[in-house]
Amino acid sequence: MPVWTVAAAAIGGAAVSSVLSCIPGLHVYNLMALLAAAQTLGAAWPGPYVVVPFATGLIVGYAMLNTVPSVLLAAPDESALFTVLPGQKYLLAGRGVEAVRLVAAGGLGGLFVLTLVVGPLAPRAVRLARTVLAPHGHWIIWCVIGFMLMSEWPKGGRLGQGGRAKFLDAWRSTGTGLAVFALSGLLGFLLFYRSPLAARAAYQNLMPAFVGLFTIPWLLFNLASGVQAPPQGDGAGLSGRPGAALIKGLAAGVLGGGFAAFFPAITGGTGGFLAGHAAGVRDDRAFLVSQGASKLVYYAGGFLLLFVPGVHLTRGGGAWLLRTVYLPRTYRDYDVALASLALAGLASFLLIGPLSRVVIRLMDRWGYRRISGVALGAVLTLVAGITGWQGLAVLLVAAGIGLLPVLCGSRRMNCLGVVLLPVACNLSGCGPAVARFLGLVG
Amino acid sequence: MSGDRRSAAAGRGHGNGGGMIRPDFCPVCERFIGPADVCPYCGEDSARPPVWRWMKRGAWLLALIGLAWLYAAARGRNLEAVQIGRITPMMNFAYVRVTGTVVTRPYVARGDGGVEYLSFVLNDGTGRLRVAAYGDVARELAGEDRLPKRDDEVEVAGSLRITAGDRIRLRVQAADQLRSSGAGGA
Repeated sequence: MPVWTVAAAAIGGAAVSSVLSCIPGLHVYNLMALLAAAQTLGAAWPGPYVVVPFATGLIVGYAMLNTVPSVLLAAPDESALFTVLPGQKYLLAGRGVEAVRLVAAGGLGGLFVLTLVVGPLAPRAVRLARTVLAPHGHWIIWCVIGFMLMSEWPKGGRLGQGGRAKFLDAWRSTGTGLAVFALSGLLGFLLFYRSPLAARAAYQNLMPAFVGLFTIPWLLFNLASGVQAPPQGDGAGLSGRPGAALIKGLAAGVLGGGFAAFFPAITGGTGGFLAGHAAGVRDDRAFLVSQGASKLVYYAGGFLLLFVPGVHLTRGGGAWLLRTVYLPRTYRDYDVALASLALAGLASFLLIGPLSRVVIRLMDRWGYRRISGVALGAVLTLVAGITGWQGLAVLLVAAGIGLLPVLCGSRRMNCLGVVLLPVACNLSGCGPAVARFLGLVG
Repeated sequence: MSGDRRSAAAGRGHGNGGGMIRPDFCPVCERFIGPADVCPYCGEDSARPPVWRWMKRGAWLLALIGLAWLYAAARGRNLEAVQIGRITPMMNFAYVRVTGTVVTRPYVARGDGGVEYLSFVLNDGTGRLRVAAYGDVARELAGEDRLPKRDDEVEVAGSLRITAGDRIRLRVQAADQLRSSGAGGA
């Protein structure tokens, strides 16, 4: 096996991700989709020992390095929703670099757990876990949805006169959260069962919806608010004694990320949210660490499941895209993926510092607004290029839904109804019946 | 709210020094109102810039009217008919319609709960793909004896799953999306 080729491809993937991560709103799956499309259109096939490590490098690099724009530019993807609030708190206090380091520390911890603990055990443990848990997937996802919606339970109602005004105040954010979940769920059913996108763009069916729900609202928010972050310190170290926060955050993050990687439709953010509640994470530092670990374990662990011998679970957009060009079968594929994961993870971690400095310099020179404007243009061009005007129409509607939680003070996580609701219905066996009731099938 | 009252409130400075209006506090009665647009205590407009209110209204309109429009367009849209030979990996997950001849006897897998899975291979002259149905859809197709026979002409709709090596599978999501001419033999 060409060891140096594997190493170069893995580190190359991480290096490409470092550039990709500087563009707020651009997702690694968008690039992977373009590469898969190029492959199917006749580009030369470089062989599995380039494709597998490069794809692994891209995903691990993104999971680690997307932290930088998520915290410093506040343009998160769907798995980084919760990094933003404490992250923004740090940013506005001039401690953005410290927040990035905390998230990256969580990511590095998650990488160690994946390569040293999960990697050797996965061929046996994942098979067992699938046998035990597969028949229960549907109700577990319904429980996650239930918990998510219950966590939106009326939290206002303490202001103003009693009666209608107080009632409306109490239900404002809760009602918005429930409405956002229902609307995004309906959008999900449309996309799953009768997508307006042309068949040739179906491999990116959910992309316009995800960009509209999660990326566009933040970019618009940045443009409209004109927030200016204060000068950021160099983050020479972590303040206080972060040991306990690191351990607690890492445990919660690995648990949440692993849960999200294994079950379909659950993202790293949702997994981190659940694990944060389960482990009682209240401290901001532990929270940031947990989100870093959760994100890395979710992206990289989910992708690794495709390579686990005898199991080959397809989880996450990256794995679905790779399946169309290469189907891993052997222990050698698994070993290559695992080695690439370790190499690319380490390379990405080392890139965090320089990348943070580049982004801070960009912020100083261009400012939040201009960067957000450029990112908005780039994202719209990408969506239009891949999915056409139909994709832009979906993006617009999704952006309308995605703006509601931002403007009305409810949880953005409810936008995940776009995948949670159709997948939960499908796993329960009632998806086609719901689609038929909606007039989308038949 | 009236400009005079807001100016007066700003002039008082809310104990914030510098005469700034704090966005989470009512500019008139100075009580905390969070993200509310109208103060629930005194009914005055909040100090949030009007752009946010317009964005909120725009977002609701876009979400509700846009989704209704997408829904109506989706219901009125015919499924795209494709030739098997023209299917590419970029069509993974596409919901499409295919017409062709059944070239294998349908395979039916039974479990404790009856039929669990069925599949057959379809050829439209440009290529072959496997049509598969699971669970209730498979049971419905087998139970109502709507299974196509070999050499039957069928029109079937479903979502495509494509894996490396040109392995194409069409998953039927509803029994009534499989229509057979019934002209086949065994």
